[in-house]
Amino acid sequence: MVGRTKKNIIKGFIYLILSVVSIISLFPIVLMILGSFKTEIDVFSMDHIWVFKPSMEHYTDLFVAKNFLNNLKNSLILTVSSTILSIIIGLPAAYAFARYRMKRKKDIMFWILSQRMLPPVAVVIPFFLIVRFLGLLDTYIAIIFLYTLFNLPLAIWLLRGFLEEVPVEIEESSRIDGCSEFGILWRIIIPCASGGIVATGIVCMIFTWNEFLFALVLSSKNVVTAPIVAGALKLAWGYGWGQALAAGSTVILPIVVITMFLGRRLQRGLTFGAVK
Amino acid sequence: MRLNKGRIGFVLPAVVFLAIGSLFPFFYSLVRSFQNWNLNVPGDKITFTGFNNYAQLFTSFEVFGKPLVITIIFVISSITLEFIIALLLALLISSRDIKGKNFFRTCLIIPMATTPVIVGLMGKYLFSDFGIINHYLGKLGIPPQPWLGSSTMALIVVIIVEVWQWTPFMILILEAGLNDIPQTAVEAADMDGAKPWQVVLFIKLPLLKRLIVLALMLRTMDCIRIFDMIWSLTGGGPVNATETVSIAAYRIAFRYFNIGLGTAYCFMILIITILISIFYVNILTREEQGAW
Repeated sequence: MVGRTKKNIIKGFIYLILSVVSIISLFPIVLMILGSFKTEIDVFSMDHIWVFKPSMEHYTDLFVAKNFLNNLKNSLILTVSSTILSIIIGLPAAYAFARYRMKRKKDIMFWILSQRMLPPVAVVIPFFLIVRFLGLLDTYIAIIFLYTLFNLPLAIWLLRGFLEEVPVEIEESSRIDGCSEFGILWRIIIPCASGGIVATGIVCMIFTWNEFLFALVLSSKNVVTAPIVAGALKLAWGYGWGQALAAGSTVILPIVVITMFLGRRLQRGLTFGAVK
Repeated sequence: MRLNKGRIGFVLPAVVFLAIGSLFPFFYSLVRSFQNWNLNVPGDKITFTGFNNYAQLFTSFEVFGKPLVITIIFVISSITLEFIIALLLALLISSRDIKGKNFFRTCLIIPMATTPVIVGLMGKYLFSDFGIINHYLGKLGIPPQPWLGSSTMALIVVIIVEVWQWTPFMILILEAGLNDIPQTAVEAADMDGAKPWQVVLFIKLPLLKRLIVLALMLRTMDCIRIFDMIWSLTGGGPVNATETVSIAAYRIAFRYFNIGLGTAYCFMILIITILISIFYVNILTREEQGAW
């Protein structure tokens, strides 16, 4: 009996800690979303942290006066097109790395992963100069190219893990039936690994949607993305904060929704495949 | 199956892309770093200056030394804190039958997936002089702190925000690793009368080593890269107190448009990151048994 009480106390303690950690994780986000509906005076008013008169003024300012929808559209175009491109380029390569024998495969894989870890600031200066030289500053194409470049290592890395889990027997029998390598990839691998491919795509999309530095350097007017606007609003006491919080809430809304619905399926991608 | 001629087309596009992504910036920075070129001066002639830019980097501590020290402090303290907190929490929840574990995991994933610039913005909101942190501290009788106004405090805030966002990453990895440890090993030690801390220290941690190194590597590299969160949280200030190498390089290249010095700077950052990743990869390959 004594053992059981002790066990219950431990369990209660664990639940307490987990609740505290969950609250800490969500608290800043909740506070930002609440703040985005407060009037400029209430944003920093500590009497109105939880109870206040909601106002939509920052959202109307943002979407009507500042045309924030346009920035969201830019983000969406860049995110979707570069993700699709990296999957199209990455999938055959991931298949080759998953199935074919080649020399120094492990070294090549680490080289690919290390690409993902290059400091963006070190990469962006050379690319800024070349894009400027080509006259492509502030265009979709330059940023899509760069985003594809930085998504590709992650896409290959994750896809290889998913493709390795597709049983090799199905492929072998279709190879005997005379299916071409491309046909195997297209008709067998893609349908079998579709869950993993979608998960990879979503993780790439999250990282691209969140990207800041490349967009900051390569855009100036036409292709400014939503995070840039949210990060660049001038802030002062009693001025600008409401709008910044509204922009921030809008930017993270799709991410929060996606992670709430797909949480567990994204774990593997967000931890670079370390969690199966 | 070998990777023969007919199949090389599978990897070729990706390899070309990746080669452009890594080799081009590397060699371009290398060449430019020996030149003098300022975009702010219209029609500035690009001239060869030898090691002049590198000399500039190392003669004044303020240019490269200080940001490097700040980066090192930031990386080491964030990662140590993340690791300790994550290990404790992972030990607490792993292989226990807890209701709502999935809800808890979802709560943890949300910060990781949140846009870093917005995370910085939230930090700035919470830690501002009239913000909620000072408000709650006031209720505990602690006077308001100038979180983002003092040099030491600002660096601490940057570390707190980083730990808030990325501890979950370590928790997820370590918890998955702990769950994979065969129960028999733990039970055998229990039978032999091992105390709980001995089980953790001598059984669980050694079995987790590969995963720990991996998690530390991913976090170290990511912390060195960090730009956006600090950019929106402190902008590198007050008075460069939170200026990491990424922010310093950005300022030189895109505020002062000193391309020569900027590329020399980036070349140094590249070399440092490559050395650190070689260090980690070496440990990993020594530990390597599984597919990772």
